[in-house]
Amino acid sequence: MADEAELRAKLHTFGNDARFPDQNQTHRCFQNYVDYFRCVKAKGEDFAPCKEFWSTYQSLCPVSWVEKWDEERSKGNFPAFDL
Amino acid sequence: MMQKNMKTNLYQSNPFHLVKPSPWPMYLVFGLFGFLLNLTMMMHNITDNYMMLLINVITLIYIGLLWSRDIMGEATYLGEHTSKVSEGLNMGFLLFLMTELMWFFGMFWAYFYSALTPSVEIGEIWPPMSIMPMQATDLPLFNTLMLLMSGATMTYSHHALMARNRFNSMFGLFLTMLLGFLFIICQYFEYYYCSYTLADSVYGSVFFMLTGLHGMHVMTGTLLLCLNFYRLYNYQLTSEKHTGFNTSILLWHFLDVAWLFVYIVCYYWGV
Amino acid sequence: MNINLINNYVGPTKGYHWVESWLFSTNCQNMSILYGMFSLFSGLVGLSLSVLMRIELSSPNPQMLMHNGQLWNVLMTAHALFMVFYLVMPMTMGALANYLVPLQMGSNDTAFPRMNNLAFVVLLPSMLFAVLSCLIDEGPGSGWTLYPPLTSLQSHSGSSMDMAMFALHLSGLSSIFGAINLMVTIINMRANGMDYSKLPLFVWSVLMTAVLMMLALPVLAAGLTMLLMDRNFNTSFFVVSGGGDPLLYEHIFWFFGHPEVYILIVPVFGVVSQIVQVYAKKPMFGKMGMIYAMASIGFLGFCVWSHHMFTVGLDADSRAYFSGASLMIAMPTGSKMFSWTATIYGGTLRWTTPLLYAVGFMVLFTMGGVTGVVMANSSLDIMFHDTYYVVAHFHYVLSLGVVFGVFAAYYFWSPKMFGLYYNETLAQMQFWILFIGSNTTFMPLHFLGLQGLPRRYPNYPDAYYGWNLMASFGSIISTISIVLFFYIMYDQFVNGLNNNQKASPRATDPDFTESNIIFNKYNSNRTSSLEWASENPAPLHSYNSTPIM
Repeated sequence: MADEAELRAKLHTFGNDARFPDQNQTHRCFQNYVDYFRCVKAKGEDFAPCKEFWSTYQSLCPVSWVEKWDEERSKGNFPAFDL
Repeated sequence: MMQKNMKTNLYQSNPFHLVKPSPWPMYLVFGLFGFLLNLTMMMHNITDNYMMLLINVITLIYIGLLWSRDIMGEATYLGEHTSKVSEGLNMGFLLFLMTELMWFFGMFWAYFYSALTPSVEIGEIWPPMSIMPMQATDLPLFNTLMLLMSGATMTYSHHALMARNRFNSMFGLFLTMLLGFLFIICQYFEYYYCSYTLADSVYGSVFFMLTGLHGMHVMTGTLLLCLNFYRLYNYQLTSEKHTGFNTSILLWHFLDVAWLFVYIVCYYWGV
Repeated sequence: MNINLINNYVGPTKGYHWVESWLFSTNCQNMSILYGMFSLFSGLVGLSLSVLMRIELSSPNPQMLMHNGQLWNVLMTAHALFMVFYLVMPMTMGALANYLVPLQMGSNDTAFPRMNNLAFVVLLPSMLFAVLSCLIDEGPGSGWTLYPPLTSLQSHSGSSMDMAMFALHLSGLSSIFGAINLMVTIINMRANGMDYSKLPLFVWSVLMTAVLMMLALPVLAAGLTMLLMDRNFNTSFFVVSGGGDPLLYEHIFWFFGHPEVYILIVPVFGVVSQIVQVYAKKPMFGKMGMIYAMASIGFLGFCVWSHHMFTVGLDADSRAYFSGASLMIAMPTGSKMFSWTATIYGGTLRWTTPLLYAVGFMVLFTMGGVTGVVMANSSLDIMFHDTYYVVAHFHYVLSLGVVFGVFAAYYFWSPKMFGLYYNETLAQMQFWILFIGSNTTFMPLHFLGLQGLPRRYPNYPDAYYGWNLMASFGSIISTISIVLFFYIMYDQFVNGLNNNQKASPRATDPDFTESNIIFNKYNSNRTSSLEWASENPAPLHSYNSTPIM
């Protein structure tokens, strides 16, 4: 339960991002997903700013998309680049 | 011969061409309807008889030839194409090119829409992963050079015609036809050895749609040039009056410019 | 009985076998009459489809479609296609433009008569495809916009959707040919001294419309081609899984679709201008301004397409721009409306049928325009999008605007085209019945839309019963007026008076006799145009020699 409360604290509605002015925030979700793993790859899991990307995509992306992308990454057919 | 029955008014007090009733539009439409109907039936496996489609294509081409033969007869033998009429024909062809331009505009819109904000499904990268785009400096550059050269030989032929130099005009036109034909051959090989297809994501779709649209127009343009070569050979084009030749030249230069855009966007910018 | 007059209808058919003069025709007047018959026929088809839909909606729960939603969708699509592509465009840019443009600017025919013929004949397979697509497989249940995921192979797997697209393709081909023909005619074949400033407003409106057609329709053709490729040749322009985007189709379609609605209305602007100046017996107020207004409406028409897509999730900046640009169109349109009003103001009005229709057009088109201004605001459109408010809006500008203009044109110019008068009393009755009927049909739709009833559904909650019933009664009244219109045409052709029967008291009624006098050289007030100078109907190829203005 404690974990869940912590998670709720981290996940909040994110404000405006000028790079993604559309109502449709699909691109923003995807960009943050990609940026998180790019960040982790470059700076390591514990690097604090990476958490920002994580909580953004966790907040924006539908769970099924994240699961699909995670699966694609593990299979190595994720479309963006070699993650 | 139909042309034996063609006659012109003995006296006419206006500069315009009052065309006699013509069966070709209606016959052309028969071909068009059959073509599209058979295409629909084939696309949905209602029939797999390719012969009907072939017959319709032949009808279309044949009616087109008969129609243009009428126009050539009126222009050359009946003298119906006064300067006012050829002015109108030129204008009409320019407006037709404007519609072609808008068609290309729609296709380029699709290209830029897909390329500038690539969708999430292809990972927001353009070209999508594991598409190996064509090298702009390989065959496409050769094609570009050939098409630009054909523009130059076209102008050479046109100016030779205006300077009443028959041989040079025919030679220039022949070179243009040859270059157009070579362009089509090269484009064929380029498609043949291409690593991706029409069905490989939106990249393949927009790439083949744009280059294919252009390629089909080059084929049409080459056919028009052949027609003009035939007319030049038969002394139908004069140094003063060659409206059909003029319009073919317009189409050819339009295709040159369109190719430059296609080349820059599809082969250089979008890879 | 003047049935002999029709047999002696020597004008456009002189000296030719009927096959030559009607099927292989290269005469713009014959093409005009063929376009007119085609357009009337498809108008009847479209009307009957709309009546079927109104019967279905006349009370809640299925009335006659038996829960067949796809059939409802097909009815709706076919109604739109027939009304837009086979009624209005052939009528304005085919029948009226072909007859009047050469006559009004003193040329003997259009520039490319064979292409003119082709433009008409291509419409026949086009309509055949439209009819076939509705009769086989599951029918095109997508609305006239043919938005992709619904028109893709997954949702409409049969061949009917392909046929609907081919129908639009061919119709576009026809319009492009017609537009090029008319543009070259107007630019190249004007009479001596007929410079652009002297061109009648109808010719100007046709020129503007032809420009719009030439620029807009190829874009539709590109979009439809991509759609067909997506369906049949495995491309993914609009397929999400391949990296395409259905939104792209909406952009491309409405880049065509918005100019298309101006293609429908602008020729009618010209018609109304001609009629108003004749019956107010005054020259057009601000003719130059009218021309510039039409030009700017045409230009702005290409800059506002996304106001049809305010709810798809565009960013706020785009929506703000498209709201602003859409609101701006009200200015040239409003200036036209004020110019017509100013022309009528202080004029010697004769309330003949064409003027009734023209004024009806002005009133009802203004109403439709005002609801358009409301919807142009993207924030309000979030609410109005896909409700009956939209249906009411575009029926006020199209059904009550364009169609009233077309009726006005028929009553104004049909004596010119056939040399026979119609019965003025019956015609005025027909106007009032249509006026009452169409307003009864479409006025309640505003209220339904404001209450939130979404469009394109064959059923609705009981709360909406009242207004829907009223609208259905209205459609029956309109149908009665159309039946009366066909009787008027029959009466005109069979019992109509011609120019040689002026002795009859009735013949002094119709209007164009006096407009002839206006054009008369003894009258300095030359507000009417050149078409009244020739006999009725106009002789073959109109003018033997080019007139000198």
